[in-house]
Amino acid sequence: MRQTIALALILGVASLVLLTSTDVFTLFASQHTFVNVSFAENDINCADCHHRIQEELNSSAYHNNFSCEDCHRFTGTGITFASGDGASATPGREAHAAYTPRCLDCHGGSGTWIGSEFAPPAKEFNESNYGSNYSAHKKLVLKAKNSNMSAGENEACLVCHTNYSCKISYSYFYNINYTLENWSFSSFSYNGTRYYDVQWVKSGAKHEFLDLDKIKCTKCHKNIYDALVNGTSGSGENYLTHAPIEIDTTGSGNWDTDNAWGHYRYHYIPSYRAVHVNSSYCFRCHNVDKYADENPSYALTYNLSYVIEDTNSTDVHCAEALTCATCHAKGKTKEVIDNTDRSGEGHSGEDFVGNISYARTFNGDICMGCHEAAVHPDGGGQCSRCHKWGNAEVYIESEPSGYAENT
Amino acid sequence: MRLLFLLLIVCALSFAMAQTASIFAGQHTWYNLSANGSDVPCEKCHADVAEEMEVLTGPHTGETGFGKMKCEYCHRFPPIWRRNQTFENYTYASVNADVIPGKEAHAASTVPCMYCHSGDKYGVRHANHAYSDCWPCHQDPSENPNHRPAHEGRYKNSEDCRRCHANAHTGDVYYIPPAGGFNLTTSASDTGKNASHISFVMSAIENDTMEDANEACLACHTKMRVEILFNVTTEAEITVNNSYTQSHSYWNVDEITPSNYTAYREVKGEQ
Repeated sequence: MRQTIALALILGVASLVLLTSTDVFTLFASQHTFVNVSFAENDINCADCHHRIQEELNSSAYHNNFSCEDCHRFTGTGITFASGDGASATPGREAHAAYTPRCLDCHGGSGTWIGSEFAPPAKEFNESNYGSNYSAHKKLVLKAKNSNMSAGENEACLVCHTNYSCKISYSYFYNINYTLENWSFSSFSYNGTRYYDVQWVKSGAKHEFLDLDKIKCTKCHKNIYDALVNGTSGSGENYLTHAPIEIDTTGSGNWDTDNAWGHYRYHYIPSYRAVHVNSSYCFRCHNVDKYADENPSYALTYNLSYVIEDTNSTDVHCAEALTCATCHAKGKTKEVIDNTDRSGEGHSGEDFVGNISYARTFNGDICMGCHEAAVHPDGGGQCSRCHKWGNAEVYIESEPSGYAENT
Repeated sequence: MRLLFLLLIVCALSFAMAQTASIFAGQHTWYNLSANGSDVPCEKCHADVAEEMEVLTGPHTGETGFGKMKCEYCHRFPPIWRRNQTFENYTYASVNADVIPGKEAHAASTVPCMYCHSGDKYGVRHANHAYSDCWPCHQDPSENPNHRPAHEGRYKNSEDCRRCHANAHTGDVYYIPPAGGFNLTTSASDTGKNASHISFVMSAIENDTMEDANEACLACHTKMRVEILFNVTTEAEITVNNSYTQSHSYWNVDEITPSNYTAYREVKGEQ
């Protein structure tokens, strides 16, 4: 009974206090605490709302010493942001507090100085129309430019240069068949469609910029990696495509590893293929200029200063779209020549490679139809069929399976 | 028995007492409304807001060097010439020379920040350096028809002018700075086409929790707690197709779409 009376008294007093109270409470507390914006620098702390972005930048290989304003209030584009420094105030025009920059705002043209830091130009993509058509990724940049997913071409930059993940769905031909008679094509056909999905899973953080050596060609081009490393199991050699003549000492042929040019085979992948097939290996063909720069002793061995002139590697961003003919057509530094250690002239002395008139997408597999180690007959007196008469009937599958028949 | 005795004494006292006590003390002490401005102290009920106005020295709270703004500057907003005319002008209840009943609002209204910050003039030194006294020029048009009265005669002293229009750093008088960069001011050069936060501002305008874009303005320009649920893409899906005939081929990037969204929460002021 006493408890009931006490409770009734408390409720009564509380009701009376509430009823007579003159204070009201604001719905959104602190909405009248205005931040002073009269200092010269940005007075509103971006990280208050974008703390996660700050954390991403802290673990980034690049830009981690930049302030938010360095990029998002970059003044080099002509955008007028709202600002004030006590003495005067400028209203924003194109943007108020911040804008989403294009990477090329700083990395375009001749590059830009951000304080004492130089933002180097993104080679080729900094030029009008994104430079030459030899850049393998130019189509990606163009598509990114025309998509409305992000500012400018940023999607293309982000998928390679940051921890923003990417999933790529490729489609291309499944296989080709061709017949070669005396080094002339008497039939050619392409068949089927191969669908290949690849996913480069990263943290997803768009503000975590990657060290350049962390950008792995094989992550997006896993079909090529698989073609070079795994392919299709064979009884002697495995069916490995995309880079030629890979017979090594494990096979019955016991081929030497040097070649007609008098040096160790350029495309040869020694054991531990999974390790040796990496970005540096890709650059041997797809960016000879970069490979030569990073491997000066190899540059000397392989006369790469001349090979560079045969390619367009100085005119690309990171990778060149090329065919075998780029280096091995007649007149090139590494044009097809006889191996004096072997009999038969093959197609040396003529521009068989340069004269292949089928679509360039088939070019590599046409070559691999003969130059894949697994299709090389193990003796049996068939040398002249190819090496002398130039007769072959070929079936070869595209990457990654690379299975081939050459009869 | 003792309780009965106590009740009897209380009843006797109540019966014999000449004075009654009102439940709401002071309810018959009326404010004089005939003076200029608002005569009812807003702080009486809004003590928390009054306290907030003392926390920081910033816009509206003493940045001009002449003290914080009065409640009525914003909540009984005056006619402003240079503003986005889509904002309605209210008539509040007032008693000065005449009694004006309120129309859209009685004592006060909430106000869109952009009401004052949507003009196209900013930051200029006043032609007459009218820092010392605004009133000789900006007075009632009936007294000085050659000069525009300040806010159509709403204010009657220079102190009111200074609290909004003074610049403590330079000693100049300045126009209220427009919040440009969202295409919401009357300036033709205000396009807002590159503004990162424009979708935030536009959503705030559509949202009726606060007036106009106030949710967005206050989220950045005050210490108000803000909780943001970000939903961001962590992956790009790219479709790459090889188109080919027997003699011609090319690679094409047919599509790039954002995917693999992840949600995270940011609370302003928690870090």
